[in-house]
Amino acid sequence: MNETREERVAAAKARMAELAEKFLVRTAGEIETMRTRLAQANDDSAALAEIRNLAHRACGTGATLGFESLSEFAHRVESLAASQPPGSQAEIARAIDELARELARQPRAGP
Amino acid sequence: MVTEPNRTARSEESAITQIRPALLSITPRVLLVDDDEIAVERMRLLVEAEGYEVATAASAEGALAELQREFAPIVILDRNMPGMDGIELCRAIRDGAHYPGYVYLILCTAHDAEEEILSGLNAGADDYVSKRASGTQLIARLATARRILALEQSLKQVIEERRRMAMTDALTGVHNRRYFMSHLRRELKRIKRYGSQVSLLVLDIDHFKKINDRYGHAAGDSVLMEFAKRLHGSLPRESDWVARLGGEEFAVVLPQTDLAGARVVAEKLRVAVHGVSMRTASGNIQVTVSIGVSGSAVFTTADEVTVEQLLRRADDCLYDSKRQGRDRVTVDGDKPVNQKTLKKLLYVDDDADIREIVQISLSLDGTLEVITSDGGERALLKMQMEKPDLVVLDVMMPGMDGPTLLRRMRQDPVLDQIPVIFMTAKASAEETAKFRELSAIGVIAKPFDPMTLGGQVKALWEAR
Repeated sequence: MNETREERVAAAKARMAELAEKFLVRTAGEIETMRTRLAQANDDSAALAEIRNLAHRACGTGATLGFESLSEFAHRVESLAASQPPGSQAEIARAIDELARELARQPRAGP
Repeated sequence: MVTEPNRTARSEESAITQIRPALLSITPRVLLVDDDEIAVERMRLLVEAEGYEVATAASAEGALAELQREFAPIVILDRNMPGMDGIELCRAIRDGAHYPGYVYLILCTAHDAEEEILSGLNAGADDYVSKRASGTQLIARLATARRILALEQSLKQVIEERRRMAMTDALTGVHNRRYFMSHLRRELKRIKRYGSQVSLLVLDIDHFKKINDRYGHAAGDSVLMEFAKRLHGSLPRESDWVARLGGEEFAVVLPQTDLAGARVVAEKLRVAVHGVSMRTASGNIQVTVSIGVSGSAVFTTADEVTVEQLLRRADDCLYDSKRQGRDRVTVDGDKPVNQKTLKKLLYVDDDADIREIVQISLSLDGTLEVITSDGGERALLKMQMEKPDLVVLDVMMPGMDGPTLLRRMRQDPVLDQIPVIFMTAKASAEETAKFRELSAIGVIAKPFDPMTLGGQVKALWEAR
Protein backbone atom coordinates (compact mmCIF):
# COMPACT_ATOMS: atom_id res chain seq x y z
CA MET A 1 0.00 0.00 0.00
CA ASN A 2 1.36 3.40 -0.98
CA GLU A 3 -0.81 5.62 1.21
CA THR A 4 0.29 6.46 4.73
CA ARG A 5 -1.40 5.19 7.84
CA GLU A 6 -2.94 8.64 8.46
CA GLU A 7 -4.45 8.66 4.99
CA ARG A 8 -5.85 5.21 5.51
CA VAL A 9 -7.37 6.17 8.86
CA ALA A 10 -8.96 9.29 7.39
CA ALA A 11 -10.44 7.31 4.52
CA ALA A 12 -11.73 4.71 6.94
CA LYS A 13 -13.43 7.37 9.08
CA ALA A 14 -15.22 8.85 6.09
CA ARG A 15 -16.39 5.44 5.01
CA MET A 16 -17.48 4.69 8.58
CA ALA A 17 -19.78 7.75 8.54
CA GLU A 18 -21.37 6.46 5.33
CA LEU A 19 -21.91 3.11 6.98
CA ALA A 20 -23.61 4.71 9.97
CA GLU A 21 -25.98 6.54 7.63
CA LYS A 22 -26.69 3.34 5.73
CA PHE A 23 -27.42 1.58 9.01
CA LEU A 24 -29.93 4.19 10.13
CA VAL A 25 -31.79 4.04 6.81
CA ARG A 26 -31.86 0.25 6.91
CA THR A 27 -33.05 0.16 10.52
CA ALA A 28 -35.94 2.54 9.69
CA GLY A 29 -37.07 0.06 7.04
CA GLU A 30 -36.66 -2.85 9.41
CA ILE A 31 -38.78 -1.22 12.11
CA GLU A 32 -41.63 -1.13 9.55
CA THR A 33 -41.02 -4.83 8.82
CA MET A 34 -41.14 -5.60 12.57
CA ARG A 35 -44.49 -3.82 12.88
CA THR A 36 -45.99 -5.70 9.93
CA ARG A 37 -44.71 -9.07 11.20
CA LEU A 38 -45.96 -8.36 14.74
CA ALA A 39 -49.51 -8.02 13.35
CA GLN A 40 -49.15 -11.54 11.87
CA ALA A 41 -47.52 -13.04 14.95
CA ASN A 42 -50.68 -14.80 16.15
CA ASP A 43 -51.01 -16.97 12.99
CA ASP A 44 -47.33 -17.19 12.02
CA SER A 45 -44.73 -18.52 14.47
CA ALA A 46 -41.91 -17.50 12.10
CA ALA A 47 -42.97 -13.86 12.43
CA LEU A 48 -41.74 -13.56 16.02
CA ALA A 49 -38.42 -15.20 15.10
CA GLU A 50 -37.94 -12.69 12.31
CA ILE A 51 -38.56 -9.78 14.68
CA ARG A 52 -36.04 -11.25 17.08
CA ASN A 53 -33.39 -11.62 14.35
CA LEU A 54 -33.90 -8.11 12.99
CA ALA A 55 -33.71 -6.65 16.49
CA HIS A 56 -30.63 -8.67 17.28
CA ARG A 57 -28.88 -7.40 14.20
CA ALA A 58 -29.81 -3.79 14.95
CA CYS A 59 -28.57 -4.29 18.50
CA GLY A 60 -25.18 -5.73 17.51
CA THR A 61 -24.39 -3.59 14.49
CA GLY A 62 -25.77 -0.48 16.20
CA ALA A 63 -23.35 -1.08 19.07
CA THR A 64 -20.35 -1.48 16.77
CA LEU A 65 -21.19 1.79 15.04
CA GLY A 66 -21.50 3.66 18.33
CA PHE A 67 -25.34 3.94 18.54
CA GLU A 68 -25.36 2.75 22.12
CA SER A 69 -28.86 3.76 23.30
CA LEU A 70 -30.36 2.61 20.01
CA SER A 71 -28.66 -0.71 20.53
CA GLU A 72 -30.23 -1.01 23.98
CA PHE A 73 -33.74 -0.31 22.67
CA ALA A 74 -33.20 -2.94 20.00
CA HIS A 75 -32.03 -5.35 22.68
CA ARG A 76 -35.30 -4.75 24.55
CA VAL A 77 -37.28 -5.76 21.45
CA GLU A 78 -35.05 -8.80 20.95
CA SER A 79 -35.45 -9.94 24.56
CA LEU A 80 -39.24 -9.67 24.49
CA ALA A 81 -39.45 -11.58 21.20
CA ALA A 82 -37.02 -14.25 22.41
CA SER A 83 -38.28 -14.85 25.94
CA GLN A 84 -40.33 -17.94 26.81
CA PRO A 85 -43.21 -17.29 26.80
CA PRO A 86 -42.76 -14.21 24.59
CA GLY A 87 -43.91 -10.81 25.74
CA SER A 88 -47.42 -9.71 24.81
CA GLN A 89 -48.07 -8.14 21.44
CA ALA A 90 -48.76 -4.83 23.16
CA GLU A 91 -45.46 -4.96 25.04
CA ILE A 92 -43.48 -5.74 21.90
CA ALA A 93 -45.31 -3.05 19.92
CA ARG A 94 -44.43 -0.52 22.63
CA ALA A 95 -40.76 -1.55 22.54
CA ILE A 96 -40.68 -1.20 18.73
CA ASP A 97 -42.23 2.27 19.05
CA GLU A 98 -39.57 3.27 21.55
CA LEU A 99 -36.90 1.97 19.17
CA ALA A 100 -38.44 4.03 16.35
CA ARG A 101 -38.44 7.16 18.54
CA GLU A 102 -34.80 6.60 19.44
CA LEU A 103 -33.96 6.19 15.77
CA ALA A 104 -35.66 9.49 14.97
CA ARG A 105 -33.48 11.18 17.61
CA GLN A 106 -30.24 10.18 15.84
CA PRO A 107 -28.41 13.06 14.16
CA ARG A 108 -28.46 12.50 10.41
CA ALA A 109 -25.77 13.57 8.02
CA GLY A 110 -28.47 14.40 5.53
CA PRO A 111 -27.99 15.87 2.10
CA MET B 1 22.93 -27.92 1.30
CA VAL B 2 26.21 -27.38 3.15
CA THR B 3 25.21 -25.50 6.29
CA GLU B 4 27.41 -23.91 8.90
CA PRO B 5 28.27 -26.39 11.68
CA ASN B 6 27.74 -23.70 14.32
CA ARG B 7 24.03 -23.59 13.50
CA THR B 8 23.67 -26.12 16.29
CA ALA B 9 24.18 -23.25 18.75
CA ARG B 10 20.58 -22.27 17.96
CA SER B 11 19.24 -25.32 19.73
CA GLU B 12 19.43 -23.71 23.18
CA GLU B 13 16.39 -24.73 25.20
CA SER B 14 15.63 -21.10 26.07
CA ALA B 15 15.23 -20.23 22.39
CA ILE B 16 12.34 -22.62 21.87
CA THR B 17 9.53 -20.46 23.21
CA GLN B 18 11.09 -17.21 22.10
CA ILE B 19 9.18 -15.56 19.30
CA ARG B 20 11.45 -14.68 16.43
CA PRO B 21 11.09 -10.91 15.87
CA ALA B 22 10.90 -11.22 12.08
CA LEU B 23 7.72 -13.29 12.44
CA LEU B 24 6.00 -10.58 14.50
CA SER B 25 6.09 -8.13 11.62
CA ILE B 26 3.97 -10.38 9.43
CA THR B 27 0.35 -9.23 9.10
CA PRO B 28 -1.70 -12.37 8.47
CA ARG B 29 -4.80 -12.62 6.34
CA VAL B 30 -7.96 -12.02 8.36
CA LEU B 31 -11.34 -13.55 7.52
CA LEU B 32 -14.38 -11.59 8.75
CA VAL B 33 -17.61 -13.53 9.09
CA ASP B 34 -20.91 -11.72 9.69
CA ASP B 35 -24.29 -11.92 7.99
CA ASP B 36 -24.69 -8.15 8.32
CA GLU B 37 -22.85 -6.50 5.47
CA ILE B 38 -22.69 -3.22 7.38
CA ALA B 39 -20.99 -4.89 10.35
CA VAL B 40 -18.56 -6.65 8.00
CA GLU B 41 -17.80 -3.42 6.21
CA ARG B 42 -17.07 -1.58 9.47
CA MET B 43 -14.63 -4.28 10.59
CA ARG B 44 -13.00 -4.39 7.20
CA LEU B 45 -12.28 -0.65 7.43
CA LEU B 46 -10.74 -1.02 10.88
CA VAL B 47 -8.68 -4.07 10.06
CA GLU B 48 -7.51 -2.96 6.63
CA ALA B 49 -6.40 0.38 8.08
CA GLU B 50 -3.94 -1.63 10.18
CA GLY B 51 -2.45 -3.15 7.05
CA TYR B 52 -4.06 -6.60 7.26
CA GLU B 53 -5.27 -8.36 4.16
CA VAL B 54 -9.00 -8.95 4.62
CA ALA B 55 -11.41 -11.54 3.29
CA THR B 56 -15.10 -11.63 4.14
CA ALA B 57 -17.89 -14.18 4.32
CA ALA B 58 -21.61 -13.57 4.91
CA SER B 59 -22.27 -16.94 6.56
CA ALA B 60 -20.52 -19.73 8.47
CA GLU B 61 -20.83 -21.99 5.43
CA GLY B 62 -19.26 -19.30 3.27
CA ALA B 63 -16.44 -18.94 5.81
CA LEU B 64 -15.59 -22.66 5.64
CA ALA B 65 -15.54 -22.51 1.85
CA GLU B 66 -13.32 -19.40 1.91
CA LEU B 67 -10.84 -21.07 4.31
CA GLN B 68 -10.57 -24.00 1.88
CA ARG B 69 -10.09 -21.68 -1.06
CA GLU B 70 -7.44 -19.55 0.62
CA PHE B 71 -6.28 -20.03 4.17
CA ALA B 72 -6.58 -17.22 6.74
CA PRO B 73 -4.97 -17.80 10.13
CA ILE B 74 -7.22 -15.30 11.90
CA VAL B 75 -11.03 -15.50 11.76
CA ILE B 76 -13.30 -12.94 13.43
CA LEU B 77 -16.81 -14.34 13.50
CA ASP B 78 -20.22 -13.18 14.56
CA ARG B 79 -21.96 -15.36 17.12
CA ASN B 80 -25.50 -15.01 15.78
CA MET B 81 -25.97 -15.90 12.18
CA PRO B 82 -28.86 -17.53 10.36
CA GLY B 83 -28.11 -21.14 9.37
CA MET B 84 -24.91 -22.32 11.01
CA ASP B 85 -24.08 -19.91 13.84
CA GLY B 86 -20.71 -18.73 15.16
CA ILE B 87 -20.53 -21.42 17.85
CA GLU B 88 -21.03 -24.17 15.28
CA LEU B 89 -18.45 -22.52 13.02
CA CYS B 90 -15.89 -22.58 15.87
CA ARG B 91 -16.49 -26.29 16.32
CA ALA B 92 -16.38 -26.99 12.58
CA ILE B 93 -13.03 -25.24 12.24
CA ARG B 94 -11.57 -27.01 15.28
CA ASP B 95 -12.75 -30.52 14.31
CA GLY B 96 -12.79 -30.19 10.58
CA ALA B 97 -10.40 -30.07 7.68
CA HIS B 98 -6.63 -29.95 8.00
CA TYR B 99 -5.54 -26.38 7.62
CA PRO B 100 -1.95 -25.38 6.89
CA GLY B 101 -1.69 -23.83 10.35
CA TYR B 102 -3.55 -22.91 13.50
CA VAL B 103 -6.72 -20.85 13.06
CA TYR B 104 -7.02 -18.15 15.70
CA LEU B 105 -10.74 -17.56 16.35
CA ILE B 106 -12.14 -14.33 17.74
CA LEU B 107 -15.85 -14.50 18.49
CA CYS B 108 -17.99 -11.36 18.28
CA THR B 109 -20.90 -11.15 20.69
CA ALA B 110 -23.70 -8.59 20.77
CA HIS B 111 -24.65 -8.81 24.43
CA ASP B 112 -21.52 -9.71 26.42
CA ALA B 113 -23.67 -12.22 28.28
CA GLU B 114 -21.62 -14.69 30.34
CA GLU B 115 -23.17 -17.76 28.76
CA GLU B 116 -22.56 -16.44 25.22
CA ILE B 117 -18.90 -15.91 25.99
CA LEU B 118 -18.52 -19.26 27.73
CA SER B 119 -20.25 -21.25 24.99
CA GLY B 120 -17.98 -19.58 22.44
CA LEU B 121 -14.75 -20.27 24.32
CA ASN B 122 -15.86 -23.85 25.01
CA ALA B 123 -16.58 -24.36 21.32
CA GLY B 124 -12.95 -23.49 20.49
CA ALA B 125 -12.78 -19.70 20.23
CA ASP B 126 -9.46 -18.24 21.41
CA ASP B 127 -10.85 -14.86 22.34
CA TYR B 128 -14.02 -12.84 22.19
CA VAL B 129 -14.78 -9.23 21.47
CA SER B 130 -17.96 -7.36 22.20
CA LYS B 131 -19.73 -5.63 19.36
CA ARG B 132 -19.69 -2.63 21.66
CA ALA B 133 -15.93 -2.67 21.89
CA SER B 134 -13.96 0.15 20.32
CA GLY B 135 -11.98 -0.33 17.14
CA THR B 136 -8.83 0.12 19.21
CA GLN B 137 -9.75 -2.89 21.34
CA LEU B 138 -10.40 -5.00 18.25
CA ILE B 139 -6.98 -4.08 16.85
CA ALA B 140 -5.34 -4.89 20.20
CA ARG B 141 -6.97 -8.33 20.15
CA LEU B 142 -5.70 -8.82 16.60
CA ALA B 143 -2.19 -8.05 17.86
CA THR B 144 -2.63 -10.81 20.45
CA ALA B 145 -3.62 -13.18 17.68
CA ARG B 146 -0.54 -12.16 15.75
CA ARG B 147 1.70 -12.84 18.74
CA ILE B 148 0.26 -16.34 19.17
CA LEU B 149 0.61 -17.06 15.46
CA ALA B 150 4.19 -15.76 15.49
CA LEU B 151 4.89 -18.13 18.37
CA GLU B 152 3.39 -20.98 16.36
CA GLN B 153 5.60 -20.08 13.37
CA SER B 154 8.67 -19.82 15.63
CA LEU B 155 8.02 -23.30 16.99
CA LYS B 156 7.53 -24.64 13.47
CA GLN B 157 10.87 -23.17 12.45
CA VAL B 158 12.60 -24.72 15.47
CA ILE B 159 11.12 -28.11 14.62
CA GLU B 160 12.22 -27.76 11.00
CA GLU B 161 15.75 -26.77 12.05
CA ARG B 162 15.98 -29.69 14.49
CA ARG B 163 14.73 -32.07 11.85
CA ARG B 164 17.39 -30.80 9.49
CA MET B 165 20.08 -31.08 12.15
CA ALA B 166 19.10 -34.68 12.90
CA MET B 167 19.74 -35.40 9.20
CA THR B 168 22.99 -33.44 8.97
CA ASP B 169 26.56 -34.42 9.73
CA ALA B 170 27.71 -31.92 12.36
CA LEU B 171 31.33 -31.73 11.18
CA THR B 172 30.95 -31.41 7.43
CA GLY B 173 27.41 -30.05 7.10
CA VAL B 174 26.48 -32.63 4.46
CA HIS B 175 23.70 -35.15 5.06
CA ASN B 176 24.38 -37.94 7.53
CA ARG B 177 23.95 -41.68 7.24
CA ARG B 178 20.37 -41.59 8.51
CA TYR B 179 19.39 -39.14 5.78
CA PHE B 180 21.28 -41.24 3.24
CA MET B 181 19.41 -44.43 4.11
CA SER B 182 15.94 -42.88 4.18
CA HIS B 183 16.34 -40.67 1.12
CA LEU B 184 18.04 -43.23 -1.08
CA ARG B 185 15.17 -45.58 -0.18
CA ARG B 186 12.75 -42.86 -1.29
CA GLU B 187 14.76 -42.38 -4.48
CA LEU B 188 14.50 -46.12 -5.21
CA LYS B 189 10.72 -45.98 -4.76
CA ARG B 190 10.65 -43.19 -7.29
CA ILE B 191 12.59 -45.16 -9.90
CA LYS B 192 10.20 -48.08 -9.42
CA ARG B 193 7.26 -45.79 -10.07
CA TYR B 194 8.68 -43.78 -12.96
CA GLY B 195 11.21 -46.23 -14.42
CA SER B 196 14.13 -43.82 -14.19
CA GLN B 197 17.65 -44.58 -12.92
CA VAL B 198 19.81 -43.66 -9.98
CA SER B 199 23.54 -44.06 -9.50
CA LEU B 200 25.51 -44.27 -6.27
CA LEU B 201 29.12 -43.31 -5.65
CA VAL B 202 30.91 -44.49 -2.50
CA LEU B 203 34.07 -42.51 -1.80
CA ASP B 204 36.81 -43.18 0.72
CA ILE B 205 39.72 -40.83 1.40
CA ASP B 206 42.97 -42.76 0.83
CA HIS B 207 45.21 -43.35 3.86
CA PHE B 208 43.10 -41.09 6.05
CA LYS B 209 44.38 -42.71 9.21
CA LYS B 210 47.91 -41.72 8.24
CA ILE B 211 46.75 -38.10 7.88
CA ASN B 212 45.27 -38.21 11.39
CA ASP B 213 48.39 -39.85 12.81
CA ARG B 214 50.82 -37.52 11.12
CA TYR B 215 49.03 -34.14 11.29
CA GLY B 216 46.62 -34.64 14.20
CA HIS B 217 42.86 -34.94 14.38
CA ALA B 218 42.22 -31.23 13.91
CA ALA B 219 43.94 -31.42 10.52
CA GLY B 220 42.00 -34.62 9.79
CA ASP B 221 38.75 -32.76 10.51
CA SER B 222 39.80 -29.90 8.22
CA VAL B 223 40.48 -32.41 5.46
CA LEU B 224 37.02 -33.97 5.95
CA MET B 225 35.34 -30.55 5.80
CA GLU B 226 37.27 -29.47 2.71
CA PHE B 227 36.64 -32.85 1.10
CA ALA B 228 32.86 -32.55 1.66
CA LYS B 229 32.93 -29.02 0.31
CA ARG B 230 34.73 -30.06 -2.86
CA LEU B 231 32.33 -32.93 -3.45
CA HIS B 232 29.36 -30.66 -2.98
CA GLY B 233 30.87 -27.95 -5.14
CA SER B 234 31.71 -30.33 -7.99
CA LEU B 235 28.27 -31.90 -8.40
CA PRO B 236 26.66 -30.88 -11.65
CA ARG B 237 23.01 -30.74 -10.66
CA GLU B 238 20.78 -29.45 -7.88
CA SER B 239 19.24 -32.90 -7.43
CA ASP B 240 22.62 -34.60 -6.74
CA TRP B 241 23.48 -34.91 -3.07
CA VAL B 242 26.29 -35.85 -0.69
CA ALA B 243 26.20 -37.78 2.59
CA ARG B 244 28.89 -38.77 5.05
CA LEU B 245 28.45 -42.46 5.79
CA GLY B 246 30.93 -42.43 8.66
CA GLY B 247 34.65 -41.86 9.24
CA GLU B 248 36.25 -40.90 5.93
CA GLU B 249 33.58 -42.62 3.83
CA PHE B 250 31.13 -40.52 1.83
CA ALA B 251 28.34 -41.24 -0.64
CA VAL B 252 27.07 -39.27 -3.61
CA VAL B 253 23.63 -39.98 -5.01
CA LEU B 254 22.96 -39.05 -8.63
CA PRO B 255 19.27 -39.29 -9.53
CA GLN B 256 18.37 -39.91 -13.17
CA THR B 257 21.95 -40.81 -14.03
CA ASP B 258 23.19 -43.99 -15.71
CA LEU B 259 26.55 -45.63 -15.00
CA ALA B 260 28.29 -43.84 -17.88
CA GLY B 261 27.15 -40.48 -16.50
CA ALA B 262 28.10 -41.54 -12.98
CA ARG B 263 31.59 -42.47 -14.15
CA VAL B 264 32.09 -38.98 -15.57
CA VAL B 265 30.98 -37.41 -12.28
CA ALA B 266 33.17 -39.79 -10.23
CA GLU B 267 36.22 -38.97 -12.37
CA LYS B 268 35.50 -35.25 -11.93
CA LEU B 269 35.29 -35.67 -8.16
CA ARG B 270 38.50 -37.70 -8.07
CA VAL B 271 40.35 -34.96 -9.96
CA ALA B 272 38.79 -32.23 -7.79
CA VAL B 273 40.30 -33.94 -4.74
CA HIS B 274 43.61 -34.98 -6.26
CA GLY B 275 44.23 -31.75 -8.18
CA VAL B 276 44.67 -29.24 -5.36
CA SER B 277 46.15 -30.03 -1.95
CA MET B 278 44.07 -29.22 1.09
CA ARG B 279 44.97 -26.27 3.27
CA THR B 280 44.93 -27.03 7.01
CA ALA B 281 46.40 -25.37 10.10
CA SER B 282 49.12 -28.04 9.98
CA GLY B 283 50.06 -27.18 6.42
CA ASN B 284 48.88 -28.26 2.98
CA ILE B 285 47.99 -31.93 2.69
CA GLN B 286 47.82 -33.84 -0.57
CA VAL B 287 44.78 -36.09 -0.51
CA THR B 288 43.46 -38.70 -2.94
CA VAL B 289 40.19 -40.58 -3.03
CA SER B 290 39.13 -44.04 -4.14
CA ILE B 291 35.65 -44.33 -5.60
CA GLY B 292 33.24 -47.19 -6.26
CA VAL B 293 30.26 -46.65 -8.56
CA SER B 294 27.10 -48.70 -8.84
CA GLY B 295 23.58 -47.93 -9.92
CA SER B 296 20.09 -49.23 -10.50
CA ALA B 297 21.16 -50.01 -14.09
CA VAL B 298 23.11 -53.13 -13.00
CA PHE B 299 19.89 -54.78 -11.77
CA THR B 300 17.61 -56.50 -14.25
CA THR B 301 14.43 -55.16 -12.65
CA ALA B 302 13.78 -52.15 -10.43
CA ASP B 303 12.21 -54.45 -7.82
CA GLU B 304 15.59 -56.03 -7.07
CA VAL B 305 17.23 -52.74 -6.16
CA THR B 306 17.56 -52.12 -2.44
CA VAL B 307 19.66 -49.59 -0.58
CA GLU B 308 21.67 -52.39 0.98
CA GLN B 309 22.33 -54.10 -2.38
CA LEU B 310 23.33 -50.87 -4.04
CA LEU B 311 25.60 -49.93 -1.17
CA ARG B 312 27.23 -53.36 -1.12
CA ARG B 313 27.96 -53.30 -4.84
CA ALA B 314 29.35 -49.76 -4.77
CA ASP B 315 31.43 -50.79 -1.74
CA ASP B 316 32.83 -53.79 -3.64
CA CYS B 317 33.83 -51.44 -6.46
CA LEU B 318 35.42 -49.11 -3.91
CA TYR B 319 37.56 -52.00 -2.60
CA ASP B 320 38.58 -52.80 -6.15
CA SER B 321 39.77 -49.20 -6.49
CA LYS B 322 41.71 -49.54 -3.25
CA ARG B 323 43.25 -52.83 -4.30
CA GLN B 324 44.28 -51.56 -7.69
CA GLY B 325 46.32 -48.77 -6.15
CA ARG B 326 43.84 -46.14 -4.89
CA ASP B 327 43.12 -42.68 -6.39
CA ARG B 328 40.87 -44.28 -8.99
CA VAL B 329 37.31 -45.00 -10.00
CA THR B 330 35.80 -48.48 -10.40
CA VAL B 331 32.39 -48.78 -12.01
CA ASP B 332 30.11 -51.74 -11.33
CA GLY B 333 29.88 -54.08 -14.33
CA ASP B 334 33.31 -53.14 -15.67
CA LYS B 335 35.21 -56.18 -16.91
CA PRO B 336 38.27 -56.34 -14.67
CA VAL B 337 41.30 -55.59 -16.81
CA ASN B 338 43.51 -58.49 -15.82
CA GLN B 339 46.14 -58.53 -18.47
CA LYS B 340 48.40 -60.09 -15.90
CA THR B 341 48.30 -63.89 -15.91
CA LEU B 342 48.80 -65.89 -12.76
CA LYS B 343 52.27 -67.40 -12.88
CA LYS B 344 53.65 -67.52 -9.37
CA LEU B 345 51.72 -68.35 -6.21
CA LEU B 346 52.87 -68.43 -2.60
CA TYR B 347 51.02 -70.72 -0.21
CA VAL B 348 51.48 -70.05 3.53
CA ASP B 349 50.53 -72.72 6.08
CA ASP B 350 52.14 -74.02 9.28
CA ASP B 351 51.07 -77.60 8.45
CA ALA B 352 53.70 -79.20 6.20
CA ASP B 353 51.34 -81.98 5.01
CA ILE B 354 48.76 -79.52 3.74
CA ARG B 355 51.49 -77.38 2.13
CA GLU B 356 52.49 -80.44 0.12
CA ILE B 357 48.91 -81.33 -0.88
CA VAL B 358 48.23 -77.76 -1.99
CA GLN B 359 51.48 -77.61 -3.94
CA ILE B 360 50.62 -80.83 -5.78
CA SER B 361 47.00 -79.80 -6.43
CA LEU B 362 47.89 -76.39 -7.86
CA SER B 363 50.70 -77.76 -10.01
CA LEU B 364 48.37 -80.25 -11.77
CA ASP B 365 47.94 -78.26 -15.01
CA GLY B 366 51.62 -77.33 -15.15
CA THR B 367 51.20 -73.57 -15.80
CA LEU B 368 51.66 -72.35 -12.23
CA GLU B 369 54.79 -72.07 -10.14
CA VAL B 370 53.85 -72.82 -6.52
CA ILE B 371 56.14 -71.85 -3.65
CA THR B 372 55.37 -72.27 0.04
CA SER B 373 56.19 -70.86 3.45
CA ASP B 374 55.37 -71.97 7.01
CA GLY B 375 54.40 -68.43 8.06
CA GLY B 376 55.57 -65.57 10.30
CA GLU B 377 58.30 -63.13 9.31
CA ARG B 378 59.76 -65.81 7.03
CA ALA B 379 56.64 -65.60 4.86
CA LEU B 380 56.95 -61.82 4.50
CA LEU B 381 60.63 -62.18 3.61
CA LYS B 382 59.82 -64.79 0.99
CA MET B 383 57.17 -62.54 -0.55
CA GLN B 384 59.68 -59.69 -0.80
CA MET B 385 62.20 -61.95 -2.48
CA GLU B 386 59.94 -63.94 -4.75
CA LYS B 387 57.30 -61.29 -5.57
CA PRO B 388 54.46 -63.79 -6.18
CA ASP B 389 51.40 -62.75 -8.24
CA LEU B 390 49.10 -64.21 -5.63
CA VAL B 391 49.36 -65.20 -1.97
CA VAL B 392 47.12 -67.85 -0.38
CA LEU B 393 47.10 -67.65 3.42
CA ASP B 394 45.95 -70.18 5.96
CA VAL B 395 43.88 -68.30 8.57
CA MET B 396 44.79 -70.28 11.71
CA MET B 397 48.52 -70.24 12.27
CA PRO B 398 50.57 -70.05 15.48
CA GLY B 399 52.43 -66.77 16.02
CA MET B 400 51.18 -64.63 13.18
CA ASP B 401 47.77 -65.66 11.86
CA GLY B 402 46.55 -65.07 8.30
CA PRO B 403 44.73 -61.75 8.87
CA THR B 404 47.76 -60.35 10.73
CA LEU B 405 50.03 -61.36 7.86
CA LEU B 406 47.72 -59.63 5.41
CA ARG B 407 47.72 -56.43 7.50
CA ARG B 408 51.51 -56.51 7.56
CA MET B 409 51.55 -56.92 3.77
CA ARG B 410 49.30 -53.89 3.32
CA GLN B 411 51.73 -51.77 5.36
CA ASP B 412 54.60 -52.76 3.12
CA PRO B 413 54.90 -50.70 -0.09
CA VAL B 414 56.26 -53.71 -2.03
CA LEU B 415 53.63 -56.21 -0.89
CA ASP B 416 50.71 -53.78 -0.68
CA GLN B 417 49.28 -54.65 -4.09
CA ILE B 418 49.57 -58.45 -4.03
CA PRO B 419 46.12 -60.08 -4.05
CA VAL B 420 45.40 -62.47 -1.18
CA ILE B 421 43.09 -65.49 -0.80
CA PHE B 422 42.30 -66.99 2.61
CA MET B 423 41.90 -70.68 3.36
CA THR B 424 39.79 -71.40 6.41
CA ALA B 425 37.91 -74.19 8.12
CA LYS B 426 35.37 -71.66 9.43
CA ALA B 427 34.15 -70.01 6.24
CA SER B 428 31.02 -68.34 7.65
CA ALA B 429 29.41 -65.41 5.86
CA GLU B 430 30.57 -62.97 8.55
CA GLU B 431 34.13 -64.27 8.39
CA THR B 432 34.10 -63.93 4.62
CA ALA B 433 32.80 -60.36 4.85
CA LYS B 434 35.48 -59.55 7.42
CA PHE B 435 38.19 -60.93 5.17
CA ARG B 436 36.91 -59.00 2.20
CA GLU B 437 37.06 -55.90 4.31
CA LEU B 438 40.73 -56.67 4.88
CA SER B 439 40.99 -56.57 1.06
CA ALA B 440 41.16 -60.35 0.49
CA ILE B 441 39.87 -61.22 -3.00
CA GLY B 442 38.28 -64.46 -1.79
CA VAL B 443 37.99 -67.27 0.69
CA ILE B 444 38.39 -71.00 0.07
CA ALA B 445 36.86 -73.44 2.57
CA LYS B 446 38.81 -76.24 4.21
CA PRO B 447 38.77 -79.15 3.71
CA PHE B 448 39.19 -78.56 -0.03
CA ASP B 449 38.98 -80.93 -2.95
CA PRO B 450 42.56 -81.27 -4.32
CA MET B 451 41.23 -81.93 -7.84
CA THR B 452 39.30 -78.66 -8.09
CA LEU B 453 41.44 -76.36 -5.92
CA GLY B 454 43.32 -75.04 -8.96
CA GLY B 455 40.04 -74.08 -10.64
CA GLN B 456 38.81 -72.29 -7.51
CA VAL B 457 42.00 -70.25 -7.22
CA LYS B 458 41.91 -69.34 -10.93
CA ALA B 459 38.26 -68.24 -10.71
CA LEU B 460 39.01 -65.94 -7.76
CA TRP B 461 42.06 -64.56 -9.58
CA GLU B 462 40.01 -63.78 -12.69
CA ALA B 463 37.23 -62.15 -10.72
CA ARG B 464 39.47 -60.04 -8.48
